Amino acid sequence: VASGRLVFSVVSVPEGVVSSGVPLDAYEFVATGTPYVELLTEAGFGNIAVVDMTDAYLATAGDWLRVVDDLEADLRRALGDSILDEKVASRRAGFVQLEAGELGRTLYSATASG
Amino acid sequence: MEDAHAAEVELIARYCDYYAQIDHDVLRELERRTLGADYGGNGYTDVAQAAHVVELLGVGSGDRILELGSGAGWPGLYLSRISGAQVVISDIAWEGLAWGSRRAKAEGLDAYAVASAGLTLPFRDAMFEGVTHSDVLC
Repeated sequence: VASGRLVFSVVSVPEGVVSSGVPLDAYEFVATGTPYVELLTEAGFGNIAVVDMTDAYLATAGDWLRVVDDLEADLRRALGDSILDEKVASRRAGFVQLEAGELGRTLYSATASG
Repeated sequence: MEDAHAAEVELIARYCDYYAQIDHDVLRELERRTLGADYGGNGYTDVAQAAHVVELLGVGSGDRILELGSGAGWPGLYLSRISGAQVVISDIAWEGLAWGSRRAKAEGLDAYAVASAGLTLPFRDAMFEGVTHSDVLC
């Protein structure tokens, strides 16, 4: 983007939860030792806005798990056990961390300085 | 380097396996009940958030958006639908892009699909008014 807008959402370990004593690759989900705002600034972006979307993420993640329970038999027929089980296990793990405040979802928007 | 290549090939195969299934009605229903739309979405962006992304991008007819890690085109195709902007959906898994291309054609959307990794995008500078990605880094 030379002079346009960048908008993206990230599911990640919240900055306040990332511990300096823990290697970043030890986290099951994306973690960064450098805040995204800092990374965007270093990359030449300005006019940066940040929206915490964790509450909506929690609601959607919970809805997804409930609907999967409702549709499980049909989903198994469609996807097969392996793909469905892997996906559900990953989402359940994320949901547990989300409820514990160890995972969040953030929307960033920024303008390239161009 | 060979390990990284093998891992990428495996990832592409896994996603292609997944996207090969997305025509099933039950997956459409799962999406509609959780996100409010059924574009093969594999993340957490719902229709209200997608509308907010369009506002933040500030794009409309005559503009061009790039969606990175688009999978089958959610929310990129929807962004095009509600904004009138042209969208380029991009991902490493061609199976999802093929589905997205068919969907875009069926809806008459101004959309193109490009199979590429995010680090080796085949675009010139300043080609897009907006770039977006949704839950790719998770």
